[in-house]
Amino acid sequence: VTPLVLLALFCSALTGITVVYALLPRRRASRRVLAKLSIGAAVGVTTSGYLFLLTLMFAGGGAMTMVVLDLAALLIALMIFSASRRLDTAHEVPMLDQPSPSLLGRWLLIPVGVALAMALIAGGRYYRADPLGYWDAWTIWNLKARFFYLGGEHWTDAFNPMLTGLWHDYPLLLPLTVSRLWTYNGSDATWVPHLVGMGSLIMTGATMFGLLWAKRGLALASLCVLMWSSAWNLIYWSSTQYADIPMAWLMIAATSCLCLAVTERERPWGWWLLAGLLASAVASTKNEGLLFCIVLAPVAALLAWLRDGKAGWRNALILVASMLPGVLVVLTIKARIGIGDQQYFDGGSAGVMDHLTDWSRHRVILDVAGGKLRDAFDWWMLLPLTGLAVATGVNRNSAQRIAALGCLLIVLLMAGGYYFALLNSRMDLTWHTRTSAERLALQVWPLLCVGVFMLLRSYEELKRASVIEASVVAPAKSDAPTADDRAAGI
Amino acid sequence: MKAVRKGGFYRRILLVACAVALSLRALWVGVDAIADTHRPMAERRRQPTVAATHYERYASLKQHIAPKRGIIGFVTQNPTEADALGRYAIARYALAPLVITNSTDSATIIADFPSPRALDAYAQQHRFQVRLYDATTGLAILNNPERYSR
Repeated sequence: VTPLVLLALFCSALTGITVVYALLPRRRASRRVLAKLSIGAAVGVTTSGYLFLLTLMFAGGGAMTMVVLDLAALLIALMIFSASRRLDTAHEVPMLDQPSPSLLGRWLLIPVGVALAMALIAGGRYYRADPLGYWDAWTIWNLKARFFYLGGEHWTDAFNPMLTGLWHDYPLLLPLTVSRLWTYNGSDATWVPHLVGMGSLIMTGATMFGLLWAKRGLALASLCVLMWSSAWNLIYWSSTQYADIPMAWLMIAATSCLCLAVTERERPWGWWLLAGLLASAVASTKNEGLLFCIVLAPVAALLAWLRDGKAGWRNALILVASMLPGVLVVLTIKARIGIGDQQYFDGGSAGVMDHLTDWSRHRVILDVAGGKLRDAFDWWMLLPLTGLAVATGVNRNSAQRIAALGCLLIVLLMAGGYYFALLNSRMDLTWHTRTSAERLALQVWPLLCVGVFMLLRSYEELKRASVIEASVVAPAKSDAPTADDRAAGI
Repeated sequence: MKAVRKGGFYRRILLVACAVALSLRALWVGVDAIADTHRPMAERRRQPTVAATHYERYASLKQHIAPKRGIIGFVTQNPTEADALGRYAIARYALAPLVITNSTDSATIIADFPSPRALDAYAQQHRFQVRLYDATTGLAILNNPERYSR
């Protein structure tokens, strides 16, 4: 990895992190720091990708223009941060006593670290065997990136209709990110898209860990990451240089913001705003991201209503308003490219009904997807999960239960959307299902893990409750925040 | 109250056991990915990918192609072979930002012909001129005089 690529990544991450810190209340130190950093990095990578699109549009991808724009974005972010701190000195959230992490939580950091290190080693081996990645990497994502990087003023040749099978309507954030890093690197090195894929894998883990650490303690955060990393093909798909794992990272980052928006009491609108921004980033990564935006809006409205009643509509509105500009940019680019989606039938409602009532199509999807998912996830994994649920019991914090409900609802609705899309696939259904089921599952897998672990009582709470019970004090049965939650500022 | 304390204790033991199980499973997946032994994964990894095989072949050819922008045709010796589409796709990737089309309706055509005899026969049949042929890579640049004269 060349120093300039590191500098590019650092610069974009710093921009995003500064924006996140500007939007959120000041805390001297808290367990939210990792969540904030990983969410900030997601914001930064998205911003840099779109800045590179501006560089292409107005300077043909010139390196100097790109550097100036990146530095300008960082400067603007710093100014916003400074202004926000000057205007908001009274809003400093007092530092609360935080319980020290349990011994189990500390010990579990070892397998988490080892698992992630092994993922990097395995990813490196996959890269050595296939430096160009898998089929879609060099026929779609990186091919577009090469046009952006090498095309100069002719970068729009990437959308030439004579390039058949390039899926011109696919969103551009991943090719933009790769070509931006190639520009910093000064060559179209094959390790750059691999770095993006493996970096997204690590950042997905970091985001999940950050959220769970803030809300459920160190032990459950580690267990959640271990559960997530137990999917057989997760490392493989991260090293294929496809867009699914980067999308999974942005999706869990957006969902984490939603969870924090529901569970935080101080200045929650910042989290609602970030959730909307990151949802539009998901839409900029893959077409499934548009489905995510469609799903997220009503789920966010429901959570806002469950949390604040009728007064919650303002928060839901903030999310939708921050999501819309990015989504409109994605739709505008699609409209400008002018090549429609070739994957799905557009035969109107009658055609859709035909597919919905064609039971052979249902059977094909269920058979093929079921087989692929059995390969990717072992069902006996439910055993330790059930054991955990029995051991810990249900989380007693109602706000966090609402957040968990949101995660699980998103997974459910996304799965329904994928199923509906496959039913209306124009391509060979068996092939389409076989090649996409596993990747679609890995997109929502982090959300499912977070949703389930958010529902569990933390180890630290369990330990404390057992001490309290032992000293002949009846355990609290109400929905009132626990000591652990109070320490987390909920 | 003693029973309650014991219950809490056993629940913590169960939690630790589950934590150990999840840790071992995650480490197993990591070891398996490094060793590449999981059956469905290993099968997938053994699938031949045309990318790694064919990408390097275009490295020396690129400098001989003119113009550096625009649309160029592509033809392969055995268009019905299983990897014909892959050969075209990798040509498209390796030669970007040239727009490579899977047809011969351009002034310049890239020909992926491992056999020089087959290339000569093909060029004569279609009245193409062989501008360059690299026998080690099996790649050629053909001129289409009809398209040049238009």
